[in-house]
Amino acid sequence: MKTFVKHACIIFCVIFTVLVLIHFLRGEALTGQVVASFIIISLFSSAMSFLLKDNEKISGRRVILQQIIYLTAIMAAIIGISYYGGWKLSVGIAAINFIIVMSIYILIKFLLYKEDKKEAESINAALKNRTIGAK
Amino acid sequence: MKVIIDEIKETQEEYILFHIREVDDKMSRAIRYIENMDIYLVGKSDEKLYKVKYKDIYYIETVDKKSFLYTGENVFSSSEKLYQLENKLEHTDFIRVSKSMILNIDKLELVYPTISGRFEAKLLNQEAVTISRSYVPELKKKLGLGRS
Repeated sequence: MKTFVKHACIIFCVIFTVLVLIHFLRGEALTGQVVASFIIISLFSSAMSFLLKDNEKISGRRVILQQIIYLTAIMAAIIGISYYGGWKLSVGIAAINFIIVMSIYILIKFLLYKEDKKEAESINAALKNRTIGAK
Repeated sequence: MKVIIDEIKETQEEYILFHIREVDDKMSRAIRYIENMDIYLVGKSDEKLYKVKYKDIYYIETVDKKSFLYTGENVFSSSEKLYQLENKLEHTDFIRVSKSMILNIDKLELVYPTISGRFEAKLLNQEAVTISRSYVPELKKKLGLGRS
């Protein structure tokens, strides 16, 4: 539970920061309503992060499926908040939002994979040294 | 290092004698390997009990609360729980890699990450098993990497 709360807090902070940054880059005003919607989306994303938890019993495919469900849920939250906030969300803007969500997801995945690859390489080098040492 | 092997009669007791300046890491590993070479676990297959040598075991896995010893060719069931086997294998080259698996590092060929965010290990028999992220630091420690 403690780990989940810690991860949820990290996800909240990352998503909120990214949303604010994107909003600034688009040159739009950061009103109270916009901040509130960003907080709701970030809270929702962090609360739903239980879907990203890998409990070892599920297959690799199921892990990816859960990640897709997670992204779909976030997209649904963005569309829902836009609807209740009275913002006109055209198909084009929804597509841009989808691209932003996917870009963040792919970027995080890529960075984590790169880090994991580096870690695996150091393990493999140690295994190789061990084999040479044993000969 | 010079290696001298004396062949003895079948009736004589086998032993290994080292003439070394100091016991370094490689030597400790060699000694540990030799000490554990003939130690075995008891495995059951087809209602018969077998002595399964540590060095022949690729990994030990728990399935439906039952422990199984996997060698290159056979699978044996064990009456012991995974944590009991883990304690027994504490000073060997076996390491816990997930909640349900203990792996023999000597049978590990390489480790690689997957797109799903997991680590997998390819064994010498080309089988792939999953390494839980939470056990990666322990594996690195065992291999002399990272923090001690």
